[in-house]
Parts: sequence; C-alpha cells; structure tokens
Amino acid sequence: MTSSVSLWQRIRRTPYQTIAAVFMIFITLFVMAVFLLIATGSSAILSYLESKPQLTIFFKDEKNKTSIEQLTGKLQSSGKVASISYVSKDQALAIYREQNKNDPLLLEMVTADILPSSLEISAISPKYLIELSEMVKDEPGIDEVVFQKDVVDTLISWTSTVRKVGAVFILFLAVATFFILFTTIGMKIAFHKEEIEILKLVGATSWYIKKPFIYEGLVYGIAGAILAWVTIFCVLLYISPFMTSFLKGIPSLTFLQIEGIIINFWPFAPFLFVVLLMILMLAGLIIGLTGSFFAVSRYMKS
Amino acid sequence: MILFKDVTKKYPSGITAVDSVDLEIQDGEFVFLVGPSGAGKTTILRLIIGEISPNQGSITVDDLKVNKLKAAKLPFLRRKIGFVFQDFKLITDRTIAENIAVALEILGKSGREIQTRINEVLATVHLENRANYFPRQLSFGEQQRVAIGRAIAGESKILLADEPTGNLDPKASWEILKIITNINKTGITVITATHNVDIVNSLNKRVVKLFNGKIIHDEKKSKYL
Repeated sequence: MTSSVSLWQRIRRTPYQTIAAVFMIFITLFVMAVFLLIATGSSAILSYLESKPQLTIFFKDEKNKTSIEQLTGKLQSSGKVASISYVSKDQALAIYREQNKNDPLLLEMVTADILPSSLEISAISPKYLIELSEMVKDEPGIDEVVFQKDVVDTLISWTSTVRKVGAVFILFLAVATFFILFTTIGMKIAFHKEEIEILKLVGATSWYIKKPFIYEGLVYGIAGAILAWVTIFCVLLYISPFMTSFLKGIPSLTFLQIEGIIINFWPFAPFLFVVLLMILMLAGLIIGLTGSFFAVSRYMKS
Repeated sequence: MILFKDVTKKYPSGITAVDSVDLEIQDGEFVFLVGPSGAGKTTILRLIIGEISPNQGSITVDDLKVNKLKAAKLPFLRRKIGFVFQDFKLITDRTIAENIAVALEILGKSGREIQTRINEVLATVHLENRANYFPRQLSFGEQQRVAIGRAIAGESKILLADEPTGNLDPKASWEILKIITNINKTGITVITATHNVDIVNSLNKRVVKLFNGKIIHDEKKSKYL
C-alpha cells in the first residue's frame, strides 16, 4: 500500500500541535522513568541493607572467647540467624584503619585495645531482629546491642511514599497526555473531514481511513519515548559522580533479575538503558495508541 | 445491472423524495435522469451508492443487495461505482495525480500500477499536462474532468454523475459529455442526473423523467420532453 501523502507530510503541516503532543508524552515518560529509577533504586538499597549484618553485639573487654563461642552457638541454634561472624579487636582495628586511611590523625589515636570485639549477625528476616536482641540483652559481658532496624524502617516508609506519590503523579500526567493527544488527533480528523467523506464515497474501508491517524498517534508516542530516554540517559551520566560518593561502600545494586541474568542499577549497566528504552517505548506506544484510537472512534462515527 | 423494486424514500422532514420507484438499468446503458429540482434525481443516486437507505423496497447492484448491506461491506459496493458530483469533491491539498491515486490506493495497488493507471486516466480526460497541478489551479471544467478521472480510475463498472455540468459553461459542458460518452463506449454503465435540455436532446439516449419522486416517463432514445 502506498500513500501519495505521507505521514511525515501530515505531521509537518501542523507543527505546533505535533510539538504539544510529543512534548506532553515526553514529560510523562520522563517523570515515569525518574520515579521508576528512584523506586527501584531505593528498593535495591533496601534489599542491600536487609542482606547486611543487621545486629551487632559489642562485648566488654572482660568477655572471654569461650563464652562468646557459647553465645554464638546459642544464637545459631535459634534458627533465626542467616550468618554470624566474630570480629576480634585486631580485625576491628583493621576495619577502622581501612575506613580512615586518609586521616593519619585518627589512625594514630587508636589502638586495638580501645576497640571492642563484636559479633555481626545477619537475621533470616528483619522481623527476627528484636527477638535476637532480646535473647542476648541479659547476657553478662555485653556492652551494647545495635541494630539497623530504625534505618531500614525509615527507608521502607520512604520508598512506599515515593511509590505512591510517583504513581499518582504519573497517573495525572498520563490522563492529561491522553486528552491532549485525543484533542490533537480529533482536530486533525475535523480538519480532514472533507477528505474523509470523499474517501468513504470512493470506497475506502474504515481501517484505510483511520490508519493514518492511528499511526500518527504511534509516531508521537515513539518520538516522546525516544526524547525521554535520551534525556534520562544524559541525566544519569551527569549524576553518576554524585552517585559514586552517595553509594560509597555499596558494590552493586540490582535493577532487574530474570532467570539468572542480572541487570545492575548501580553501577549503571549498558543493559539498564536498553531495558529503560524498551519500557519507555512500550509506555509511549500505549499512550499514543489509546489517545489516537479513542479520537478516531469518537470523531469518525459515520 | 441496477434494479429498483418498489423503492420509497422519505426524509425525516416528511418529504417523500422517491415514491414507489421501479427501475431497471442494464450493464453498459447510458441513462439520463431528468426532472425539476426536488424530483428525486439525487436521492436515486444516493440510494444506489448506499449513502442513504430506502424506507421500503429493495435495491440491487449486480449481486449486492444495497439496502441490506452491512456498513463494513459498503466500501466494496462503492468500488463498483464511480461518483461525479456537481461540486467535484476533490481533495484540495493534493495534486491532480494524487486525487486520482486515491481511488487506486484504496484498492491496494502498487506504486507502479498506480502511476501507469494515472497516465491512462489523465489521457482519457485530456489532462495529461496537469498531473502536478492543485485543483484550485484548474478551471471548473478541468476540475470536473479530474473528478471523472477519479471515478473511473479504479474498478468501477458504473459511473453516476450528479449534475456534472451544473457549474459549467456550454463549451466545458460539451467536453464533459463527450468524455462521459466515450467512457460509456468502453462498456461502463452511465447514469447522469441533469436538467440540461440541450445535452439530453442532442445525445438521443434513454431518458427517465421524475416528478415528485415518481417516474413519469421512461423511454429509450428519447428527448427531454
């Protein structure tokens, strides 16, 4: 099938409507991508924290090795511990030195003697943290029990707020975009009313008449998606150095894991951008298609 | 063949535009529909292409029962019929060649087939050197020839013309009639609604005369009366 008046010509003849439609789709998809990255990024940080030793027991100096081993055995037999590791005074010093290697003053002041030995305990699930801390609280020779529950809780509520706000925001934008697309295509249909009537009279099928308008909506969707993708790509490259310092100490964050294939959110994997492009394209196509499809069925009733 | 059996069409305004009409038109015939304004000429043409449906009776075009045709099948009826309007109905932002191409594109013809056919059609309507003009750059007579070209470009075996010379001066009118007559000679059925007495009288074809929606005269090789 050839058409003497191309889709490109149709779009070019109404540049401002086209810009409005593409720009709205771009904004919607860009915001969607930003929220998607924040939501997945924060859950990745969350699951990273959840997998880390969440309970640390610091011992007083008088606590001897045998009783620490007894305590370790007791905790392991509870069935609520995923892993447990002993950090001696010397190991603690090594960690301390590593963390502060750029600050000679801090290094000088500290010896292995003043650092406590500790047990780092990772629970099977965060819900066991309190039970585990209750278990060891009354043992003799324990200086302090620290657990990261507070940090994790804050992060959980923060993540869920981001998700809710993001969902509502994207929904509003999507509705606005739908109506802009609906009106744009509707106006074009009204503009081509005479042509449509003529096409019907010479025997064009309904699909033949509708097709260019639906394609137009699809082109808007794809154009908006590509724009959003390019923008998010630039933004991520730009913030990459800040991310490096912000996520210091976290080796990697997983964005997506399908059947053993892991796509890293951090550090940015090339495949992350491919997946993002696919998601944005799909969303753009859905918006473009629904907008134009509804416009066509609304304005082209015979 | 076009067959009307006891066809009545009443418009919502209450006017009976076509009243119990029986009409049979054979393949390859040339028929003038004549009568004063409001006699029902245009209504008959609109009934044939299924643009409106009758309140009573049946209309058949070849093997298609027009009054029972589903909307989705309507395009296939319209591909059998070329329609020429008094106001041409050309697409103003497309060239002459593109206007004719429309009738071929809807049939899914290839680019080369379309180009070949456009050249043939432009020759038939004597507009070979106007292919890349826009409709507003042509005279009314030329625009009407484009409309005729579009009507016969596709697969149509029937040409309906509603007052094709209504907007034209006598010279242009004769040119149009000459082209329509030539088209009829290739075997295409032609039905022309007109009240141009001179043209009807000079061609000596079948004349169907309508008055108040009824056929009051139907004779082969006739004059306007």
